[in-house]
This record gives sequence, C-alpha cells and structure tokens, in this order.
Amino acid sequence: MKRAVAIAAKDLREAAGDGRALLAWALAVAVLLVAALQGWATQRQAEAERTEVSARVRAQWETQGDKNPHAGAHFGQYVFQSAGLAAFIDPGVSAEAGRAIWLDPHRRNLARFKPAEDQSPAARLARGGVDAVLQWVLPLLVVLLGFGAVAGEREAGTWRLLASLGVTPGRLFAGKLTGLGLVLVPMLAFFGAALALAAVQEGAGGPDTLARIALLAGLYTLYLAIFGFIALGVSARAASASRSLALLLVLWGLNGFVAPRLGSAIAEAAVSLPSSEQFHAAIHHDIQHGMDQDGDADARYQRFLAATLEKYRVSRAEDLPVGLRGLRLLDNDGYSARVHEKHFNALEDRFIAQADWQLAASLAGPLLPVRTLSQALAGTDIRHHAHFARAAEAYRRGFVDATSERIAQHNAGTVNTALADNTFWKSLPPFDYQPPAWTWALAGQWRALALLAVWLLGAAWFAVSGFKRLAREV
Amino acid sequence: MLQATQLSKRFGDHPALDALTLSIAPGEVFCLLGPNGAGKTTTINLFLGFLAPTQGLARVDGQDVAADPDAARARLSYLPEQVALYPHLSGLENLRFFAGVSGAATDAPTLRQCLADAGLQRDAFDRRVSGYSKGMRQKVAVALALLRASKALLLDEPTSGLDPQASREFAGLIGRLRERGLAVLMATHDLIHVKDVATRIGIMKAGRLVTEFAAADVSHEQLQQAYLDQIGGAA
Repeated sequence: MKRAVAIAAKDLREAAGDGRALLAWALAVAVLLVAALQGWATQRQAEAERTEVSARVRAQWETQGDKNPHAGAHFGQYVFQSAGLAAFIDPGVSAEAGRAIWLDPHRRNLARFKPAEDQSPAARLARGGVDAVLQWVLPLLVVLLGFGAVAGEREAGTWRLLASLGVTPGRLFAGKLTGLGLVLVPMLAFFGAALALAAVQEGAGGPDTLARIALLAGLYTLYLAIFGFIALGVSARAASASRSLALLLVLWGLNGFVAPRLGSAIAEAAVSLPSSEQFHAAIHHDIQHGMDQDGDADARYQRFLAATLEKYRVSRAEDLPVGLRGLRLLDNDGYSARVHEKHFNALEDRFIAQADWQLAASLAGPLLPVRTLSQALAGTDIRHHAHFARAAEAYRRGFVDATSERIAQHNAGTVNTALADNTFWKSLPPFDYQPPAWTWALAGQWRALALLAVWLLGAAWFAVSGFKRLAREV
Repeated sequence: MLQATQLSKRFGDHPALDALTLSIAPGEVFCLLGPNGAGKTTTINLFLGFLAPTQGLARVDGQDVAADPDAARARLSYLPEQVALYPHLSGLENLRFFAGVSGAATDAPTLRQCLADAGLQRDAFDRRVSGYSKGMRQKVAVALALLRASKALLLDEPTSGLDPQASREFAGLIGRLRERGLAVLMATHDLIHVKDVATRIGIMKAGRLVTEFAAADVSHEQLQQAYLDQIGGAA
C-alpha cells in the first residue's frame, strides 16, 4: 500500500508539473462547478415557481364561487411533479416528458410545459448539466490522465527501472489506480455538497433524497472506475502512449456519442410509438364505439339508463330520487377512464420498452446502463414520470367523480340546478404526490444493474490481465 | 556476490545464453564485451529476474534469483543504458520516489548526501531532470544504489553516448563503488574505456563466454586484438 501511495503521489506531482494535465484537471473541476451551481439555481427556481403556481392554482380552485359542480370541475387544475434535489444532478427525461399535467373532466392529458420544446436548437446543444459533466467530461479526464499511466512508463524506460526495484505489476496497478482516483475528488466533493444541501434544505426530500444522492455518488464512482480500468488496461497493452490515447479517445467517443444514438435507433426499430393524432384518435374511437363487446356510446347509455331505473325502481328518469346527470357523468367518466387507462398504460409500456431496448447498445460503452440508473435514482426517468402521471390521474378521477356525485346527490330526476360553493371546493383535498422510494426506483432496473456489473467486472479483468503482461515486458 | 552457474536461456530454438558460468566477488568490476546479440543484456535480465533461465542458476549474494526475484533485487541495483527518470520532477524528487518504492530511506539529508556522493552538482539537486545530461541521470541512479546499500550493481551499456569527460567521470564513479565493496557486472561495447573501469573482462559471442582475463593483464592493443580474434572469427 505504501508503494501504491508513493506511485500515486509521484503521478500527482508529475501531473502538477505537466501544465497540460493540470489544465485538463482544472477545466474539468471548473465545468463541474459551473454546471452544479447552474443546476442548483435552476432547480431552486423551478421549485419556487412550482410552489408559487401550485398555491395560486389551489387558491383559484377554492374560491371559484357558486357554480354547477361539473362546471367547477371544468375549471380544471394543474398538478406539478416536484423536482427533488436529486433531479438537478440528472434532469433525465423531464425536459422532454414535462413536469406538469392539466387535469379536467372526461380526458386524461399528457404532461405539459416541456422545457425541451421551448429551447432553441442552439440552447439544446449547449445544455450541459451536471449529468453531462459526470457522464462525458470526467471520463474524458480519466482518459487524459490515464492514457500514459503505463504506456508512458514503458516508453520512457521507467517501468524497467521500477521493476528492478521490486515494483511488481500488481503494485504498479494499485498505484496507478490510486493516482487516477484523484479524479473522484472533485466529484465526491460535489456529491458531499449535494448531500449537505439535502440534509439542511427544507423540503428537500428527507432520507430518501439522501439515499438517492449517496447512491448516485456510488454509481458515478463505479462509472469512473470502469473508465479507470479501461484506461489502465489500454495503457498497459498499447505500444506507445500516443496509441493508447488514440484508442481511448475512440472508446470514449463510442461510449459517449455512438452508444446513445445506436440505443435510440435500436429502441425505435424495436418498439414503434403512435403519433399524437393516432393516440388520441384511438382513444376517441374506443370511447365512441366501445372496447371489446361494450357497444357504442348510445348502446352503453341505454344500458346505463335501464340499470339505473331498475336500481331505483322507477320507470322514468324524471322520477329518479337522485340527479341523473351526475350518475351519467360518473358512468361516462368511468368508462372514459378505463379507455384512457388502457391506452396510456400501453403507451407507458412502449416508452419503458424503448428505454429497456436502448440498453442493447451497451456493448458500445457503459454509459447507457449508467444513464438509466442515474435517471432512476434522480427520480427523472420514464418510470418515475409514469408513476407521477398515474398519481395525477387518480387525483383527477377523485375530484371529477366528487363533483359528479355532488350533482347526483343534490339533484333529482333530470333536474341539474344545484350549485356548489367554496365550502365544497375547499372540501376536495389538494394534490399531494408522494414520489416512490429509491428501492422502487432500482427494483425495475435489473437489466441496467446487470450490465453495469458486467462492465465493471469486464473492465477490471481487462486492466488486471493487461498488467499481468507487464511482467513479461521488462 | 554475483554467480552464474551453467546459466542458459533459449528463445525458441535460439540460444540467447549458453551455459554461462562466472563469479564476481565484492569489489570486482566484471565487464562483458561483445557485439549485439552476444547475450550480454540477457545475462543482466537473468540476474534481475526479468527472464527465467531455461537452465542453470543465477545467484545474488547467495540468493537464487529465479526462486525469489524480489529478494535478489533487494540486494542489487541496475543502471540501464538510458537512465529513465521523470522529467517533471527534480533529481531529488526522482531519488525520493525511487527510494520510496524500493523501501529505502527518503529523508532529505540522506538523499542529498547520496546525490553528492554520486558526484551530482549540488545546484542540480532541485532542478527538473528534463535538463539533465545522460551523465547526470546516471549519477541519480548511482545515488539510488548508494542509498539502497546495494551489494551488486548491474550496468547495461552505461558509457554509450557519453563524451570523453563524462566517460572519465563515470570510470571514477565506478571505481569509488568498487572501493565500497560493490560487485559490478557491466555489459558494454566500449573497448576504449573498458580497461579504465574493469578488474576482469569477458568476451561473449553467440551466447557463450568465449574468453575472460584480468584487465590488468592486457594492454589496450591486446584487448582489441583479442576482441577482434573472437568476434571477427565469428563473422
């Protein structure tokens, strides 16, 4: 261990003496710092806006005054997905999927306010959050600091001198890995600061957020370890430091640029998505014409009316002791909700299947499983989005059905004149979304976890076997 | 101190070293002369444990190199043809690093004393070695040998590329090491300066030690003639 530390300390002094290495290190730290500050500021602003808008929307809901309950339901509500503190580390699909859903009767809406739609192409290109620094910049730093770790020693002849002093390949490996571990220092400092913020910031998410940030730190440590192993393995095998650098840059490019695009192409080829028009047309069709053997809207209404009259033992709608309009809304919205659930579930399944298919491109690099797990732990992947959307839908059903029941209970027959007041609006609880725990976030990610493990073990084997060859190359 | 007994190394069908037997006592400087491919560097690699012998034994201070290379290496120091140091570090920092990884003392006074004993100018101690000459680099390596209190020193073509002044300085340096009781094995092409440093000289050809004699017993001319007789006969 003492020798490994001596080798790592020497590498650090050499890096400090070599202006290029020092510059690369300083640039990476600066980029991480800027991205972290910018991400945190954006997250704070988004949370402040969410809190303010949520309060305003709720106040408007509670003070809409005397009106027909169904008209009140059509007043509608926005619900917002809280961007937890972990979300600024990796915004995931939030920019594309949206974080707010408009809730009103009869139909389930897709999320709105998608930042990606509001950005200019230039802004999209320039988007470099903490996730981009962790996934692209730090591995590049590992490459720049690690390409000559062994190839440089061998090329310069210092490896032979070290070997004559009893430095074994294993000791050299431990020293080089320890030296490369310095790349972790700024990253772990960043995660430490994020953990401290999560611990002290009010409403930051509590123990679950702390666990998620700690796991993200672990995940990115493993990711950089994979790159460290690969860099050392290539450096141990390459004929020269320049060849080592060239090969590592190719691998870095494959991981960072080819794998994501390849993954997208595979996912799109494997699982097609309906267009927005097709999606909504299919929902409309099923509501109008019915699913399976349910019959069309008119036939369903006739069945509903007959069953209702029989239930209340009357022969005419006008004689019902409850408001027919309210019961019909409940029946219609119940059917509509089933249709929406069927199509939205199918769409979610397709989104999730695409996300899983993307992992097929993990052969080109460890980025895809890491990105999948990063978004899952940050609570910003498609599964978390779907979880929020389902909670929003349950809330929508709850408040819309409550207004319909109010109509049914406060009217009789075909009369629909009873109004609701602010007391009623206030009696309907606000949306209170509880995000899932980190254990849920990881439970569905066994593929990504397995791929990460394969990359880690494979890269470690690649490095160790490369160093073993060194014993024959003195 | 350094002993080879029927030491042989084959690479496939090619005998790189064939049944070498020699013994170098403390205070002796044994110079191996010979053309490229004669087996000089192979001999050094076998003593360093970088190669496993096909047959025979290499011993350092009685320690079988093949059986425990680390123990053997702990007793010797090695000076390659080009002493490779880290260019962004000073001579002192390089020495501290190499001393640290070999388990030797790393306190500054000791390091400075060894550099001075090796003949490095004091104003060069804290300069980056990127500006060092070959001779200065060799002195850092010799300082390391002194620091580690090595019992034997292996030198591979140490005088190639040295100017006459540096060669003279180097011969003096080896002389001082010999006086300290180190056993020195030196592989060289340098017929001109070999007599300045050697106590014994051996000539190698095609992996075999074909002749050896005491350096004091031959003149420069006789040495050159003996070399040409042996090597020229092979051509």
